[in-house]
Amino acid sequence: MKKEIQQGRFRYDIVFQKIIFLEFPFFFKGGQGNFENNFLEHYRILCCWFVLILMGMAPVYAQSSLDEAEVTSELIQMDLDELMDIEVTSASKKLEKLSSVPAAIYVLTQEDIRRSGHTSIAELLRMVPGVQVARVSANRWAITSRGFAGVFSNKLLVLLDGRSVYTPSFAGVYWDVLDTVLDDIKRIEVIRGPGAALWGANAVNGIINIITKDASNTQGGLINAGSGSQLDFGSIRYGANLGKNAHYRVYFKGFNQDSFIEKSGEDAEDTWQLRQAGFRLDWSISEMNSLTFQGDQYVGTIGGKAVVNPFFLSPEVKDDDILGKNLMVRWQHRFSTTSEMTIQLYHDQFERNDIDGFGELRNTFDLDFQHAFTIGEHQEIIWGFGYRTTRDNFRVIPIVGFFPDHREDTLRSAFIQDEITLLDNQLRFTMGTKYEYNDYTGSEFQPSVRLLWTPAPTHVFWAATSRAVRSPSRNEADIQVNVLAFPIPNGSTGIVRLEGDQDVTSEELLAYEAGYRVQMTKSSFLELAVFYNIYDHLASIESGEPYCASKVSVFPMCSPLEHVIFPQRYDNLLNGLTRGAEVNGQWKVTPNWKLIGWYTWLEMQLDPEGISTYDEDVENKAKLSPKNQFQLRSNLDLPLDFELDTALYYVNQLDQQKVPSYTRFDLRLAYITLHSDFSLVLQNLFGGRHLEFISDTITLPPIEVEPGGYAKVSWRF
Amino acid sequence: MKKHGSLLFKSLILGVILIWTSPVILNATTREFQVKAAFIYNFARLVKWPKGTFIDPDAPMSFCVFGKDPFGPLLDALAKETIRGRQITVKRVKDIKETSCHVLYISKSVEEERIEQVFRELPPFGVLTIGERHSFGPLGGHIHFMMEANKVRFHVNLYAAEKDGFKISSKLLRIARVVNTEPFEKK
Repeated sequence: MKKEIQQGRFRYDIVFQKIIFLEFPFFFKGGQGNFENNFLEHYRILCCWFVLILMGMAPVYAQSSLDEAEVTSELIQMDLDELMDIEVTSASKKLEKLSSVPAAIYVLTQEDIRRSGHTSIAELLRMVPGVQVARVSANRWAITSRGFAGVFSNKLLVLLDGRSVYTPSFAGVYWDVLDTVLDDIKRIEVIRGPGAALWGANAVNGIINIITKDASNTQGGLINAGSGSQLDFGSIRYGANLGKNAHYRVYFKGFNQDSFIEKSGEDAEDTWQLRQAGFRLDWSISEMNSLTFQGDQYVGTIGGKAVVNPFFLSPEVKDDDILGKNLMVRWQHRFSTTSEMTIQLYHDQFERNDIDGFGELRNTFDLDFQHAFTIGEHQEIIWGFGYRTTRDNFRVIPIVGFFPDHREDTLRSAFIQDEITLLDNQLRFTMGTKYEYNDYTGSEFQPSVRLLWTPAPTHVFWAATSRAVRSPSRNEADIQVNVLAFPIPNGSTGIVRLEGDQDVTSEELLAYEAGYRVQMTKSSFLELAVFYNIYDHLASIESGEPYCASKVSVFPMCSPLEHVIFPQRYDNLLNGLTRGAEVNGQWKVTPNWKLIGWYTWLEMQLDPEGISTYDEDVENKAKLSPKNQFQLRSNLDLPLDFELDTALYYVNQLDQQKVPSYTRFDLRLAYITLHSDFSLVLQNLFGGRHLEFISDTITLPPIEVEPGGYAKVSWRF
Repeated sequence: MKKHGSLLFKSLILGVILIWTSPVILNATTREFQVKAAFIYNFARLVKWPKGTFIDPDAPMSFCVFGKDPFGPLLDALAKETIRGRQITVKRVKDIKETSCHVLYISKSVEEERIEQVFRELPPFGVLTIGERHSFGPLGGHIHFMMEANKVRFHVNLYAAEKDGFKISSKLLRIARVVNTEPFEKK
């Protein structure tokens, strides 16, 4: 599954040269210069010929023409962009169909992205069934799938072209720096539910995989410029070729987001600016080898008013810079049409200076290897390993700090998955596991088994059970946050402090999932997924014994000159249960009119273990995700190259935060010409100003999302 | 000698494995023409025929293949579809003059001279011509396919298409290589 997600296509591949490479060492054994060795020499050549001859004989064109014609009918339902992207020499027997993935997968295509009118990756995810996207402020979001929302939603793994943007500091994603030219995104694949068997820790409730286009598909220039009630933006991208087999693109983009308004009516001062430049170079060295280099660099500012207890006010000047850069190289080697490997290496560095003065600098190196091949016609294997090292450095402020303030962690991992066809075109069984060794909890195994049953080509059933873990973040192990200060009778100050704990363990999930897909007519389908998730050792916060700050004297005998600390410690004394159902469908009413809709239902229940002191917040935590979400989108091609797109979003209330339900209506009208597009986008119509989420981590006031709109011009050359 | 034995044994196993693993690979040209058939459908969908091409509003739209047919059943799959309410019909033609076509696909097997001759025999407007040869555009054809990095691409000769009364959607043009070539004969 990892493979198809990374490359957007399926592995029905079969290995050949793998055998040559892996089996041949047997023949190279033996002493030197003796008879046997000479014999071996000939033998080896003979073998090579044998292999080559067999390889020549190998392809068997055994496909019934009926199936082939069926594929044509499927292809004409595709968007033109997708059609442009099909490789004709793909070894895949079938069309790359998402309908045969045994997981709750959903793909946002470039067409969906373009026609949504959304201007950031975070907002684009609103379109994905079951994904909760709540805007906390102009520059912060709480995004999750299947529950457990927060500014740092820690159970969702996000990757951009294979580079993890999940932060190990707070376990979550810094959505404010996740950006690229949206026109250059090929697709965004989202899996709800665990994908840890391939993707590793933190892929507990979902994986979001953002894949940008190959540079050969972004040739020429593209200029976007837009201006609206809250946002001004522009980008320029240019792509060209270097020789016959190498293509590149370079881009620059920037935007200025205005601040939102607090519930109280005050200006939230949460402006957001980002300037980003980057490149991607794709070089097809030969039929068998291709190289990709890509990198980005950004600098920006994030505003906001942190609500800080005056006692802990930072003497430092408020700083709000965010900057970072990354560089990646990926080598793909095809041993044969049926066996392929990828080696990927990246470096990612960023620095964040948050609104309260807290600062973070992080450097990550990551190496990934994976190899996919098939054995016979019935087994597809993918395996790989990875190594990641990440080094951080924090600027500690009176209210919050990490102790130690710098740390280096490594993560070693390996995975293997075997997809076995038990009955041709009918029954497929997938089993796999990932093994990881991390510096916080040591070894973690994350197995998964999946079954896919296709009783008829238009009906697909799948079921899966998986174990996934979320390994502790730096935050849970090493943080100290001074939450409250109050005078105590002996004349000193008492401080309520949130403390990390070195002994925190991983959160564990045992997930049971099932799904059903039906192609109702050629132009419409419906998907249903249900899940039952059992969580153990969820992070909780427990009251500890008070102690004297100096740790010299023993509570309650603290000297009046030192603070008394009332610790609130991270622990894992919470268990949880979630269940839900997700239905989504699509109907191409006419070739020019597409309707997309979904409804999701979620129920969460959290129970502290007996010894836990963590009861009050528990109920609340469970209510940070809406029980019901609903969406209906329409993409309509009007005559004369006009496009009219509308979207209706409904999100249920968040009981704990007293955030009421809201309905959002977006509208886009565009006129497409050969070289330019003109579009007008209106967002959040009819709903008025509304709250979506109140920050649960960084102390921000409640901030409201307001109606707005923008006009945009794109020019291609 | 023991070694020989084991080697022989291994090679036998290797052979068995190799035979067992003989893959079923989809013929590359099959996929190519599946994609091309889908493109032809989209061409017809995104091109507006000149007024008066169709006799009545329900008249079928006929897709014709001239020359050695590379599609086989892959194109026939389109006969189940409709475009703007018109049923698609698919036929193989030998004589252009005797059949009415709205989309005419001229396969690679047809020589340039023959293509020119076909163009001369075509009615003055209302036939969208699609070809495979490089020279198809310069000869006066409307759209021709190209293979590029394993993917299907196409050129649109906008001059010829517009001259023949077609209106092509920008959506199609923007993914095409647009060329404006006047036919040779005019120069």
